[in-house]
Amino acid sequence: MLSFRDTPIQTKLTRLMLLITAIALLVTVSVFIAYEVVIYRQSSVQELTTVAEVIGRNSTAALSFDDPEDAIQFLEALRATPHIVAARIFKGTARFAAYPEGLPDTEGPRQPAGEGYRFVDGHLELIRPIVLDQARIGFIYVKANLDAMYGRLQLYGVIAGLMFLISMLVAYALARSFQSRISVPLLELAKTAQVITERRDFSVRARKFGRDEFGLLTDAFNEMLAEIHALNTKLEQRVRDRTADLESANREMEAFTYTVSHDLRAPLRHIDGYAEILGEAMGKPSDPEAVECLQKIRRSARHLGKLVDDLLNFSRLGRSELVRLPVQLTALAQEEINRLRPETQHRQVEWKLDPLPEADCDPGLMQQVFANLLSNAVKYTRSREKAVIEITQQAQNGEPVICVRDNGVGFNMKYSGKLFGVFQRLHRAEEFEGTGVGLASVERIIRKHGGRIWAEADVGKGAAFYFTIPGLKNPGRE
Amino acid sequence: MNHALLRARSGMTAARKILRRPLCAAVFLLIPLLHSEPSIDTEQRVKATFLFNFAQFVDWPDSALPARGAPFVIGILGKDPFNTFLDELVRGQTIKERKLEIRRLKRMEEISECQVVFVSDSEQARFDRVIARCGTNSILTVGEGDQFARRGGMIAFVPAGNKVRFRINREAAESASLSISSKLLRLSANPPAPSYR
Repeated sequence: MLSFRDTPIQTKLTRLMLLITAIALLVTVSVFIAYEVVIYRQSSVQELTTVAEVIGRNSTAALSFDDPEDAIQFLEALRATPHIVAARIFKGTARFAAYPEGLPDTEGPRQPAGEGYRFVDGHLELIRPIVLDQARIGFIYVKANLDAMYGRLQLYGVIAGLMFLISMLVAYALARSFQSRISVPLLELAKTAQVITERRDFSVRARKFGRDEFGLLTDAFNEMLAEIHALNTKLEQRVRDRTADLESANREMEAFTYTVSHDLRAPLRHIDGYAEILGEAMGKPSDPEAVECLQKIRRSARHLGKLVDDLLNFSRLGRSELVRLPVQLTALAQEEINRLRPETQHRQVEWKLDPLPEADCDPGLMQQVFANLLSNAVKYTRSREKAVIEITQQAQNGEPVICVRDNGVGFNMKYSGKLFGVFQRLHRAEEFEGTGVGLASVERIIRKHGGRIWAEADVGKGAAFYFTIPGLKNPGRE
Repeated sequence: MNHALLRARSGMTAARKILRRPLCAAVFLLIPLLHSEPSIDTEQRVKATFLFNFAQFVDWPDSALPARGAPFVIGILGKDPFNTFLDELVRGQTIKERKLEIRRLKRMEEISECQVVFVSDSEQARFDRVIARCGTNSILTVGEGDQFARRGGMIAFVPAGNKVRFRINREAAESASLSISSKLLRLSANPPAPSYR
């Protein structure tokens, strides 16, 4: 059952009106019945007093001349009033005559002392002195049942009940029709608010029903809607403008990067090419130092070329559209491992490849992810006598995660924040070659898929890279 | 007439019934006894009480009542059967807002100073004179036996079993301008059957 606070306003209003009607009716009926009871009692006392007085006065001679039979004859007149059930006449304080004949001794007082009346057990008992010539010569006791009153009260009760029922029905019908005048504008407002919440359509307006408070509320509501609508439109326009600005800026940036990278490659190829020609032209190396210099020139040129390639690739990542296809990650990883074979053929590298799930992703970009992570693993385990590289699938907090772990040099977790930045390198170039673009590209690809990548490492104890993307199946689900 | 007969008969049987119950009888009869000397006959005590009570149910014409401040006199003519009981009974009582006084009458002339006269049986010889005198003076006469009523007495005590009853000669009272309360008339014993007359 709903608490009153949660019941709809229509029900609330109806209940309120019914409650007020019920209280008003109950109060009225109670007052009426109480009044009736009081009046009836008063009139009963009055009537009984009169009866007692009449009989008492008529019985003075019977009392004076000690003739109970005569008194009984007066008492017998009470047969005409069936609600008077008992009466007694006392001579002095002694019992003298009783009505009806054979009235049990328990009825009436033993020794009357004064006048008075009392209501007891649905009866009214009354005692009056009998006075003759200012002398009190006896008492009369009269007892009447109040069945008539109770009968009447019962009838009133039935009538009141019926009245209550009919009134409540009428009140209910009226409440139903009247409450709508209050609730309908409110419900209309609520409906409008709901429509706006559901459809985000700020152009709808609430209907106005009158110029009362609800009308004012509706006006205020509609004004607010208009304002929100205007603000929203302005905001959307602004967002569109900004987006367009950003897009064009981005395009320009990409174009610039591409142009710069492309234009940088040509001179580099020339430097490499001419350095090679120069080396061959020198024939037998007469001067080892010169040969060394030439080799350094060529290495630097190639490194720079690689850097430019990576940068080009990196900037392309930003532009290219994502293609989502079901990709077998195990096969993708295996392919990358095979590609790295030439590099590791003179080393002892143990590959551990778990079966990986299928994922909806861009196959080309995912290939780059594995290529970068695996080549990094190979590179940083170079100093190990035996390299162990594991590619596993795990569940972290119920989320499927792919992990690439090596037993290489690792890094200090202090710098983990810089790990995925462009040109950020945690190792010296002399030690481990690289451009500092690889992990940045990986991070960019994962993020583009809507996933996350993070790393755990310790200096000298290896590193582990974890990534997850949406659409990756949980291990053991297949 | 028949009604009165019936009523009287039922009254008598009820009276007997009541008197058969010792407690009731004792209560009824002892009430007047409370103020009496033990030497007086119960019947006389009842009669004394009735004599006093009659005055309360009879209305005298204003002219026949004593002046304000003067006592209301009940006279006893002839042999007094009540002894001092009647005096004690009326001590401190008032009737018609006047003090009550009991007077033993020595001479006929004193009758005119009374409002009620009890004519003792000893005065049978003077009945007619007394009654005539009382009739002209609006004096209530009370006496003993059917005979008294038949001769023009207004209220006569008549025996009814163990009870004391009385008979009222209404014509006599009315001719004396006394009005007797219907309540009292109701209690009057039935007049004697025609055969007695």
